[in-house]
Amino acid sequence: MSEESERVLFEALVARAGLNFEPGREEMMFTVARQIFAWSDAVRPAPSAEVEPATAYAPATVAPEVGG
Amino acid sequence: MDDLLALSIAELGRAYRDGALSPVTVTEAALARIAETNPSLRAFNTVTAEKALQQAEAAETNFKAKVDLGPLQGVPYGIKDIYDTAGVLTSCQSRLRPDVVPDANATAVQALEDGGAVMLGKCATIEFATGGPSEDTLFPPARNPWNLDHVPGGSSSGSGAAVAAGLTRMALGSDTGGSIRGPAALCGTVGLKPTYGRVSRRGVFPLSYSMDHCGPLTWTVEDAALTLGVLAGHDPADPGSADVPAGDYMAGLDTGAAGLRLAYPVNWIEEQGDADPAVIAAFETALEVFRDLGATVEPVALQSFDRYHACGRLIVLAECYSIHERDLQTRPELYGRPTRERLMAGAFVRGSDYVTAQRLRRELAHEVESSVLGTYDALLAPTFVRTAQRFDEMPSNPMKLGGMMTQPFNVTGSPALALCSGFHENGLPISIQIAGRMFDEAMVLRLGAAYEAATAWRDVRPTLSQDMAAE
Repeated sequence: MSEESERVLFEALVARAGLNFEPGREEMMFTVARQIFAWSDAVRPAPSAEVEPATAYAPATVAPEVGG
Repeated sequence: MDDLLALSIAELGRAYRDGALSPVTVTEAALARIAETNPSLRAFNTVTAEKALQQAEAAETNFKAKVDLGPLQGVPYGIKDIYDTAGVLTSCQSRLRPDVVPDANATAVQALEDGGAVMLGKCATIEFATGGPSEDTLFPPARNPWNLDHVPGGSSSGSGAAVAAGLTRMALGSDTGGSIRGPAALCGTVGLKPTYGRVSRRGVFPLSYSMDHCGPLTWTVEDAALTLGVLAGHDPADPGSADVPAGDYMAGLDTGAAGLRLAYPVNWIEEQGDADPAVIAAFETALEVFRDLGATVEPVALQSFDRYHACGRLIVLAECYSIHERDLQTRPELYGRPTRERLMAGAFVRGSDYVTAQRLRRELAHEVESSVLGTYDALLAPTFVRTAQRFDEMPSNPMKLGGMMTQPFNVTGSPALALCSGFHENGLPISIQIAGRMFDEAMVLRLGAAYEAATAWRDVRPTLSQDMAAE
């Protein structure tokens, strides 16, 4: 994603969330948003479809084999 | 430091049961030490002196009557200020909660009370267990007893500072991305993040429902084992609590490391671009200690550290944002700035990012649990790749976490123990972490005890009084 596209996405997410930043901190928060967008890329490609989200770690949710 | 305050929980227990020491005497010494040091150290937000002395007297009565409630009877401890404590302010360090006094104890606190332990008070935290050290919160931030100009780590900051400075032998912490192990590392203590679900989180203010873990910070590994024995167990009131029997964490503690197979994630370490070479050298020396103890130590390659870290951060940010969303919109000015900005960042995580991260989490948990720990007994890594930063060098960017290597084991849910592995030439502690199989805290404690016994790091305490005198 280009920086320009990232800024459009950032501004849309801020508006959607109804957030107000401290004066002079908007560029810092844009930097933060870009870090998060990079993390979004880092967790992709997504795992295979049989890997359902795990939100708890009882043994039964950890034990199943993943990816054969 | 008073010799009385240097005694471990195990040593105290023996002295209590022999009649050589009184819980009241020990508690009075601890309260005196807090009164002396806390104005500079800021490790405690609230000191519950009256309650502590009442509990100490009750413990003394029990010992005289040969009533024994367990290994923590008569042992003073601190509690991170996000755990509910009946009748005692639970502030989360926040101006949003200046007068929140719960009616009931968190399950973990109640377990300690039922075991006859002595509550000294509530320890400082980073506000809501996130953000950074900040003066614009309800209480000032705790400071590092090894050098008061440096941070003690977070978010169980007061817990780490209090244990290292000898104000208490044990303090409860919580760990979502390293908040037990981080302060343990930067303050030179032991910090145990048990397996996800091992210790109840009921009554502990959440940061991330699927990443939060509760556990102790102590001075010795044995004390961590004793404490976990009291805390561990299934709690139906915590949806994440695992119905898995607690182990005997003391039984194998002195059985050494000979014959065990240990791995370290060599690519994770190579990825740490901001690592201090002295910290990496200390880690390599620690690996040699394990080899000398008779263990096999081999490198392994895992998926990238960045992938583990990103997975964890996206999940934490989304979950903590869902908790704080309303307050961020309606009264953001009450949060300290680092906390506010860290929490607001959760708005930048999209729904598909969160679900993808949770799916990846299964894959990463499998990689550690089955692919690595199916072959090896434990995984070793530095806890931090740097030493504690100065307060005045903390980055303006609230997402800069300063070299922590802890997040992966929150992602996987694995038990992980941080313990001191030396000192930098700047005088600050360095730490190693040991991660094990799910619910095998006994193995990480065994390895920690073996390493601790083979090194002399427990003989060194911060000279806090000199720093205070220089102020």
